[in-house]
Amino acid sequence: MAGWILQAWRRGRLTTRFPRSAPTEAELPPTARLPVLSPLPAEASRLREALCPTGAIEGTDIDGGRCVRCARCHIAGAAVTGPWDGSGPPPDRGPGPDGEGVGAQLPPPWPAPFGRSIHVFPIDVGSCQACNLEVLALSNPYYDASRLGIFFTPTPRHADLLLVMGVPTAAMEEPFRRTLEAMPSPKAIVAVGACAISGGLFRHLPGRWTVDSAPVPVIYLPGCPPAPVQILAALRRAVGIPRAEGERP
Amino acid sequence: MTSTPGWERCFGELPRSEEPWIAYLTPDRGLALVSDRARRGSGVVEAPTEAFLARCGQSGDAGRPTMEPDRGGDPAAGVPLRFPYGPVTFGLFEAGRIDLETPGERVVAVHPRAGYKHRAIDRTVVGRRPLEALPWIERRVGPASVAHAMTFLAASESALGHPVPEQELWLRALGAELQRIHVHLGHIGRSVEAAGQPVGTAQFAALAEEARRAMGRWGGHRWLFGLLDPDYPFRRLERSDLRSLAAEVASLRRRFDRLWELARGTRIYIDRLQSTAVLDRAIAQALGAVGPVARGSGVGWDDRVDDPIPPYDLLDLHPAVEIEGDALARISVRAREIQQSAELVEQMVDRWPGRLGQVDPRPGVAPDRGWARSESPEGDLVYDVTLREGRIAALCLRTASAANWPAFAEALRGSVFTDFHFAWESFGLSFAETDG
Repeated sequence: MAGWILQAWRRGRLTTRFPRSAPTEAELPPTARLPVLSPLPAEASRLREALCPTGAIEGTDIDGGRCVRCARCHIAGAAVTGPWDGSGPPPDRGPGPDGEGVGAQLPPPWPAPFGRSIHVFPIDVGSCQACNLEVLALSNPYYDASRLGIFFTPTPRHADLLLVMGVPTAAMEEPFRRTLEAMPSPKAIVAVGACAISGGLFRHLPGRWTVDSAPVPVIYLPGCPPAPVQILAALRRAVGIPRAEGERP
Repeated sequence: MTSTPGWERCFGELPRSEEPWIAYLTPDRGLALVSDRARRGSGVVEAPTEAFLARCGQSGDAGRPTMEPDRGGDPAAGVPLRFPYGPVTFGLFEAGRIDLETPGERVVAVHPRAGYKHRAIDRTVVGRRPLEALPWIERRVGPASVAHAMTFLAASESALGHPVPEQELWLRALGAELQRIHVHLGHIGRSVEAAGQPVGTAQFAALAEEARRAMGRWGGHRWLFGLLDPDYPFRRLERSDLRSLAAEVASLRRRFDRLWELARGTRIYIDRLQSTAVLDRAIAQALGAVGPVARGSGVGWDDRVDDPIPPYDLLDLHPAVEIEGDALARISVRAREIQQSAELVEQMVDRWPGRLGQVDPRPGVAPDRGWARSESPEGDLVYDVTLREGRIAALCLRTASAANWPAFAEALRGSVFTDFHFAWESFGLSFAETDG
């Protein structure tokens, strides 16, 4: 026991300065940022659109909700200078299973009255595990979400926010609905990663549903997977905590 | 679609003249490829045991929960309660379900039910070129994306028959070893957490984060997605980049050694692992267990040593084997493999090849049809790829998770509820990998 404590003490403070200061390079690898596309001649531009495996590119526009950061567009003129925190216009969630559009993402009143402390329940609806582990990383000493009033709860009955990870598969529709029902109001959903937002690479999966089919506000958190600092930023946005100085570089 | 219980699934359309080939593990852990008809007719190759088939059930269609092994509870223990764990849990942290049958405390039967996160990856990639299909293959299971991508690419190259740049092969192995370190760190850390050791939990979690950051710095992505694509812009293959990566891995390993020493000296932790979820050697073999699970039960097979793809044939490695077959043995194998992978990284960086070398792939099993196997973090992974005009016509695979479910169900039987997480983390099963 003494050995453990000595070991922890020897390692010292690891926790990130975020949100007091902007995330560091170590916390945000280049693929955490949305690419910014440079204008190209028409033919090259079409080639670049064809290279994108999720069809997220149209001219120089890129849909953050679909982009899986595969970096193929970089070959055909792009740079990693986009915003890191997923801010920007709400992403296009792609055609729903019935080809229908999508509703408003943040009905008033918003931000929801959660105060400054929230309890979060993560639900996997068809992920590759990367998002799951990045969400779980919030409790490691580097991010330590509890210092910001963000706590994981093992049951949806105590949860304010539902973190949805993965492609919404047909088999998970009923479990998702029941989990959402079990949560007390007010509640909100955070769609973590491209799969949960738009289906990402799997947007043509038969039986896929969208997380915003429920009458609950949705916060979109692009990435594949989003880095833990990005998840922290999204959670803070979800509870209406204003951006700290320098939070957006 | 051709589907064979449990072992692997074939999707896509095979050439008419050709019947599905199926990869089997023979009793001596070798791999045989036979056609489905040959298996049923001649019995030349060892078929999977009846027990295996009974437990795995039929792999199913998109979105339908599958793999429901039907085993009754022990009648002597009274009518057992069927306790469904999942698909929404905080403990598994994945969408999957394990039904536990219990008359009270002791688990008398275990029914894993996968299929909740079926994303139809195998079908989606049909019709694409191998490199174009990489993003899907990688996202079968994020933490082992490189193992899947490299095995898939090796199988495709075996189908094409073209020589492969040597540096590409080394890069794949380097990425795979980094991910092995990260995966094993996660399992060890979460088993420490299950034993209620908060300081140890935090320290191991910090180490896993450092592994992810090291991958992010070196490969541009914390999960190394995209790395194996030769056009990937964030590759860093300069000598100095490789050197700094090796230094980072070496310091990670030193910190791990200290933590593992402390964990091994923590009585509460070791007590929870010792004689928990025991898997006998004979049963491990009969059920076709692979990877750290098999090696924890004394089955010393490791693809990196026993059936290596380049560059593993040039590297120095001895499989980590324990004989006890309990959770401690499996976790110890994982700990040893973290140390070995760190050594492999060092060896690879020291002997990094020049740009010009080319290596011939494994010969294919038929024109346009190739296969490959490699040791993923959870064990033997087999891909069998058929190409037509350079595009994927059919894809078969047998994942390590799919192979280890029956062993997990067998080992957990007879344990108590609170042993579950130690069994779970030591077996390292993945619903994402199973479902595809």
